[in-house]
Amino acid sequence: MKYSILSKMKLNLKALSAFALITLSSTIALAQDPNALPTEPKPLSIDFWFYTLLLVAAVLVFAVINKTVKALELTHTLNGKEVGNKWNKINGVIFLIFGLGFFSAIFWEFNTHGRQLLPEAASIHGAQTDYLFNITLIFTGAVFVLTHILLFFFAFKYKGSGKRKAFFYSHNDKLEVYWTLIPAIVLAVLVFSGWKTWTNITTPAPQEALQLDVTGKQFAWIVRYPGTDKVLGTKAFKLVNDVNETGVNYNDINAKDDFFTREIYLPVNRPVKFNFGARDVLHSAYLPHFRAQMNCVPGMPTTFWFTPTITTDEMRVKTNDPKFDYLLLCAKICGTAHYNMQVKIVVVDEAAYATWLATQKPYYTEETAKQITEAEVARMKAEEERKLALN
Amino acid sequence: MSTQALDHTDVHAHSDHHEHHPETFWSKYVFSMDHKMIAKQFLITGIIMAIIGMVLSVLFRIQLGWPEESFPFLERILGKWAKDGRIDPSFYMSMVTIHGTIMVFFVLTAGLSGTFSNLLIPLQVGARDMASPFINMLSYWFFFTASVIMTYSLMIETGPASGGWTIYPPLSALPKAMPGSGLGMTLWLLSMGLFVASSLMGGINYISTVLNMRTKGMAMTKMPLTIWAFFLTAVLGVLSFPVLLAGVILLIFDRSFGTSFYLSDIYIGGEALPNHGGSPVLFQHLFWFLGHPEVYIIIMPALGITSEIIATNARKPIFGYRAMIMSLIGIAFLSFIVWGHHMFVTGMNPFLGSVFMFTTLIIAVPSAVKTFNYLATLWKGNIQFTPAMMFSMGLVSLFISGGLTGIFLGNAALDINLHDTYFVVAHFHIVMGSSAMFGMFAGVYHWYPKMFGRMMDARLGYFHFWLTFIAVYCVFFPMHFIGLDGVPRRYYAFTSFEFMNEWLVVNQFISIAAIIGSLAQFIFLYNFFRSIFKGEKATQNPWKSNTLEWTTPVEHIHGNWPGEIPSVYRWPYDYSKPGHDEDFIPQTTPYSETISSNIPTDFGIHEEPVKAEEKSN
Repeated sequence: MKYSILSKMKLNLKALSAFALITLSSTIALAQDPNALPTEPKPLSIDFWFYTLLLVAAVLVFAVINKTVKALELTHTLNGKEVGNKWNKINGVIFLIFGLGFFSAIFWEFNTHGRQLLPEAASIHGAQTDYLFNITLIFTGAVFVLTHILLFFFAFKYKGSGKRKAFFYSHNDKLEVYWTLIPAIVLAVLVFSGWKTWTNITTPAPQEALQLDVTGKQFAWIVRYPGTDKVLGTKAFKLVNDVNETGVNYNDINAKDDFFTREIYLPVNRPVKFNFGARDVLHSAYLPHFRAQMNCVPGMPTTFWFTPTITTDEMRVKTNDPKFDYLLLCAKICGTAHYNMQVKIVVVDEAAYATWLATQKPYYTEETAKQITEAEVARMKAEEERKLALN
Repeated sequence: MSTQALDHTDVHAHSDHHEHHPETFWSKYVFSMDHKMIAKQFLITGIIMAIIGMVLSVLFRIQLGWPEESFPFLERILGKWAKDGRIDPSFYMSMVTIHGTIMVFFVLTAGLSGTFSNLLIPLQVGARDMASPFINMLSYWFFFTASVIMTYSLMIETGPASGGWTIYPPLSALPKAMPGSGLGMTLWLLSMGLFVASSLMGGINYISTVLNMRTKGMAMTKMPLTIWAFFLTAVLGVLSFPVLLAGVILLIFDRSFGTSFYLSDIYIGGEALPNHGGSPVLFQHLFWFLGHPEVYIIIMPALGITSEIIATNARKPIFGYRAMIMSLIGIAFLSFIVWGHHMFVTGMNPFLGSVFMFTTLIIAVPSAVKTFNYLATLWKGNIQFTPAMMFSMGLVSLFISGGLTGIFLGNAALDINLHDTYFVVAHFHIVMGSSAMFGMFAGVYHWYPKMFGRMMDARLGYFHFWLTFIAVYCVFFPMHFIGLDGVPRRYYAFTSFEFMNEWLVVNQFISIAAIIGSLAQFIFLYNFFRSIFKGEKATQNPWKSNTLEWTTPVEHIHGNWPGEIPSVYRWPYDYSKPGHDEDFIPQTTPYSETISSNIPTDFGIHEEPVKAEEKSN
């Protein structure tokens, strides 16, 4: 479905800006194979001249239009009429035409791009915020349309002329009171419903929630599950090394059965509590399909909990996209590869979750224990040496 | 009127001091202490910075529109930052950062306030110059130095600062975190330190001039709305910029002297850092304590300029003058207690989130009042479509469009899903970026005759307006939808995610609109610089405006008015008053000269003007 929209949109856009697409297609046609390019500064390529030519053409076209309008203006003045009022008329009419185009473009956009948005929320609170979003959209949409109709219509209706004087109308206290109170009441409604939803979302996670530890680093996410005891082991940044990426404290009995995964598996309809952390700089764990986001802050644990309501398979049917996947991505600028930090999330039913859980092995084994100890010893030695060197 | 007649002896008496020190090139154009010249210096520096910011935006729009394409000419321009004609990811981050910094601070704060507060405050309140011309000059030169350092940082080996214009630590504090956090960030911090100093020196000058140097009769309640806006803007700046400076200084300490204000529990580059006990969230509080008033520092002067221009060109009094002042004061006050809405998902206490949501949505009320008052001013007007008026009406449209999306973002529950997505990019580029820029354009077109004694070409102004207005909506409106699909901002490319690929065509459309919009700005530049030398000579009051600046002679003189400073008798919005032969009555006209048009309101009797109208009929 998405792809059909995409191709449809391409056509629409073509119709919208033929000029623009000429630029675009010519780039594709004229671009050279990047592998074939020598490392020396390249001679000016054909696309450079093409753009220069295009620019010169645009300037020339503009200059011609400008001169024509100027000539028209001149004849108008010679006929003894005031140019200013002519321009008032022209611009007033353009404002009206612009207004019509403006609303049709927005309608087209809601129609076309509106279908490309995120699918329905896959969490309980997400459905609530989506509802809130729609309410807000209705209120603001009404204001948007009304005020813009007035703006463009007034521009047309009251365009200046030499024949009439404006209506001297300096204030009306009643009107001011109305249009202070009405927005205030509407906003009070929005604040109240927003506040209720917000407090709902931010209540502490229920006891039975599945605990997860998600740590952001440049440029990946590290996901840790609590294992059979359902309790996550503690961690400390001083313990981080190549084999112990998040600095889990394996002296903690709870940590011994923890395991790491590349993809997040979640059972449907069970609350899950994400415990977020960051190893180096700020990251932000953003799960758009669940309408969930929380920053990951070095030195300050943060959490977010929600209940997924739709499995990945169900969502694939709903979106008619067999490749659909839930994602966790980074929304806080974190460095050069910020644009590619993702983890796939798979929501499954309880049975499938139990099966998957059974296949997961604790990270802490005899072998990893040895590696961790070695790395720890090496780190302490290096630190010792550094201290000596400093002395 | 005495203002019109050039009484020679008076000039002599006033400019006595200057006669002994003839103005040289240096004292007139460079180290000028004349507020009109300083305004022009701010404007032209601002325009140059705006061009840099705009070029950067075009470059990263090329990357976003055609992420897989190679553009060999980019390598010619950018060298190693665009190897094989493809923009480097870390340089992309730098461009986004510097674009934001330049546009927010150097163009829309210094370029806008610096230009119009300097030009208009003395002229519209009736003062010979600023309270302290010397500090005013220093303010410009600090700004200039800051601009030079910021521009220079674009050319250093490791690249300019690249942690986003909000420079959140630890990213900005650790040179190991990204290349731009090395020397580039040091220069950024240095530049911003100077910028804050400049802004403070400007601000105290604006405040003291408005409070102490108003001419006879110019009560606070007779000031044009421009002055009210500049005055409150300066107050915001003076109260909030020091907090940014404090935040910046602590960051410098963390970067260079091993302190841990913002750093704790960090493992980077293969080692655990010794820093302990700091909090990155502290920086965000300090930053946004300035950062939020800052967006009102940007938009309020634009709103002030627009109020003045809309009233003048609709040939109507601004509707609800007192309500406009009250809403400005309301916005200014509330802007200090809403900063937390930038931090709903930082892990801040949810209760605090509720409080900030409440204050944030309240601020929409005065903003709505302003919009309705603008529309009421246009109603039954006699609208003169000067380029300035059109940009002002464009501002009203953009202020509505962008303001309404703020209601979504100010709602903590909705912000969870919208935070740091393109929805935010769309929101602030429309409500504060573009609309403030429109205010600035409006101001330039309107007061150009006052600055340069010549007129700008209106025809080119119309082209400029329509192309820009259409381009702005084409660029930023679709971004709402991209954001609603969950696409985060500051992504170098959308190619790593399947679901973002479907926006590629939209991104190309946006990029093309951005390029066309940028080219349209050259119409403005051509018009601006050509008109300085070849524009039609301006008359003294080309827009038939009421305010004081149009009573000064076209040729600039030191001290603004030859002879006595005129006294003020009325508010600045007596346009199209029934009973008066002309459709404007300057502030300097006493009521005794306008018996036929006087109404009870003029003498403090608060009566509904409709009734007054009926009576006079």
